[in-house]
Amino acid sequence: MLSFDLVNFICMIINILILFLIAKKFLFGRVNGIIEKRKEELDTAFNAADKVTQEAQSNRREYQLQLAEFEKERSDRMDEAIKEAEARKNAIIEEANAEAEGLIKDARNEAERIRSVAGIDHDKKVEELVFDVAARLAGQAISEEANSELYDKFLSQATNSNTGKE
Amino acid sequence: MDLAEELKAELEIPTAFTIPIGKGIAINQTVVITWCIIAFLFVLFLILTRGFVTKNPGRRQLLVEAFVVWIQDLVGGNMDEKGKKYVPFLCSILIFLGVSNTIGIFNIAPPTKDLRTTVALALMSIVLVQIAGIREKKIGGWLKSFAHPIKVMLPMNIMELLIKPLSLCMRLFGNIFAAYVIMELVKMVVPVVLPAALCLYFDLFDGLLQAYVFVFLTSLYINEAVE
Repeated sequence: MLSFDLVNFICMIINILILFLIAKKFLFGRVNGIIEKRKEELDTAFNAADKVTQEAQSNRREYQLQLAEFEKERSDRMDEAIKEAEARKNAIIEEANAEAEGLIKDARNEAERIRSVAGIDHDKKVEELVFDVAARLAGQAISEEANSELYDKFLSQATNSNTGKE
Repeated sequence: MDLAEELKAELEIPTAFTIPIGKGIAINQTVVITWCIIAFLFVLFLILTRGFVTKNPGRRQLLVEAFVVWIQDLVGGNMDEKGKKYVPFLCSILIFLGVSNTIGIFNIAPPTKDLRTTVALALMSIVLVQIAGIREKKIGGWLKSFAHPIKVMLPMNIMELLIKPLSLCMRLFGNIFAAYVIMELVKMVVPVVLPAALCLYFDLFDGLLQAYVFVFLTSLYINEAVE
């Protein structure tokens, strides 16, 4: 009733082994292979994304450093420019003062010369007038014409004071 | 022919053809049906896994991938990492048994109705279990495992070597053969309507359940062996 022969039994074992090899190669191998490959591709994509993010962060840090450097350089240059401008301003003022002193000195000399030519003694008023003219000449940009007018005015005032006219 | 004789005849596996070598090697129907199942599965695998891509997979590919992942989880779900390498073999057995046990729906004698098939499957399973144990524990550890947990258990553990495959093959053979006999009896008594309904249970549900039980027990044995 229940027969058992070795040939068919061995055939069955071989059949099962063949089926296992076929399933392993053509079903599990292929499917697991494609899943594994997809996983690798995803991992690669994620790694690439991470790399890009890290690069972007590194670039950002670098940019911030550069920005800070630029800011420092700008600040340094501004300080330097301010110092330079300050020095230049002082130099101009000194130059202007020196020029003013020269003018005052010239005016005094001129007044002295006029006094000696006119033979009169200068009183304080004349002296004030000289200083006034000198100060105006030093403080304002006055044209040649305006200078002549001032001199004329000064001379007329000096003459009047000398002759007793007010 | 009376019923008893008919059932006896069902137990006999007819010879499909004879290879003319020596006295002649008789190849029985079960082997030929198994070849057909293997050929069918081979073609099915080729068709289903053709043109697989990693990006934008089609519906067919998604279904096949889902099926393979599901069956691997089903079989390997209760196994630890050491036993996972045997999952493809167990899945192959599960697919083969699933197809073999349900082939009765098409009025083809299931290969698992033949004792040779179940004995072959059980023998292969138990050899695999022992190979897994030897690979994991080496020969010394494997031999010591027979005296586990205490030395008194040695005879019983040695007996288990025979009992485990015997229970595996007899359970499968008994269930499938019994289902086949019951279905034949039902067909004799009530030839219409009822066999169709009962076929769903005996050929489909019971067939798939026994396939799973066989693979589940084998996976448990492998787990025990590699622990």
